[in-house]
Amino acid sequence: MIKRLLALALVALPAVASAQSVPTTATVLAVVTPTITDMNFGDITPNVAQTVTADAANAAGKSAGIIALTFNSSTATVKIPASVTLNRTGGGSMSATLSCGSAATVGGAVTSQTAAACAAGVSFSYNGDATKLATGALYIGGSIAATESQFARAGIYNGSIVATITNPAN
Amino acid sequence: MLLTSSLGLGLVAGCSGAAWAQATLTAIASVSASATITTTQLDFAVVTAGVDKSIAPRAGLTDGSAGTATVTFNTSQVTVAIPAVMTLTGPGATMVATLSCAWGSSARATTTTAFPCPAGQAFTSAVAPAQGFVYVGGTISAAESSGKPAGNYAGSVVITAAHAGS
Repeated sequence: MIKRLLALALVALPAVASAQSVPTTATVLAVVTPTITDMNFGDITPNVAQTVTADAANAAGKSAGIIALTFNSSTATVKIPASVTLNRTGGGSMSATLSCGSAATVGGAVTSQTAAACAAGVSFSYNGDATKLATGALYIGGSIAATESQFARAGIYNGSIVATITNPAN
Repeated sequence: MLLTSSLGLGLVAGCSGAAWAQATLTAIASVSASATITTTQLDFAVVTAGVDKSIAPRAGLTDGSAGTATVTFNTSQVTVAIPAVMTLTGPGATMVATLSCAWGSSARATTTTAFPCPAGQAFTSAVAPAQGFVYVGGTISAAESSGKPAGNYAGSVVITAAHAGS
């Protein structure tokens, strides 16, 4: 019994004396967090076109939708549909074509984007500052043609705009 | 919605390395209540002084013509009202006409349903655009035209359309 213990100690000592490195890895997942502001076309007079610009410059009563992003990858991309259908409870609908503009932050200078870019996806880039998350803001505007509201019943119309947001793993 | 988007993003990121999410925002619009009226003139044609002259509130008359008011609206109801009387002004004189009102099913209805002008007629509809057709006739009594100078007499009738509902 005593011999066995000694032998073990002898064998074990060299192992302690020469420490081995253990590879360690950590994966930080790519995360993008959207914060949503709804879009408001305001009051529409039947048979009169109504437009909400894709920026912060709309008149009182109208406002662009905003998707504000924070993300930790090299880019984040947002794409929106070309149009949205607004429906009225009790019947009736109107179609609106959508537009978009991009800014580094909410309230920042907005760059107008083409319809093709809005549909294909507008990309925002990592700002190079490792101490905080990157940001981006997509402003969403739209137009309702006069012919859409010409025969529309009075009332409130709502529609859902589903935006797809992607970012790579790093 | 924001929370759901973020959770979905994390799960996908762990599996594929890239991330995606869907964000849904609501677009809102409010269509204003609207009622517009298009009119045609009430024409008494020739009035003989000292003789009653009446125009029926319907289409298809052979002597004179009823005025019409077509109201187009986008609410569930609209009420069209007309004054009980109107004044026609001519060369140095006036005549008062008592108005009569009716509604029809079209802009050329020869059969119409009478209603009291000041109380008005309500039109309802479940769809837009809805329309209501109003006819305005009237009577110039013999007493009104008696002794009046010859000439053209004209006046205006203010028609109101009040909408309700949505």
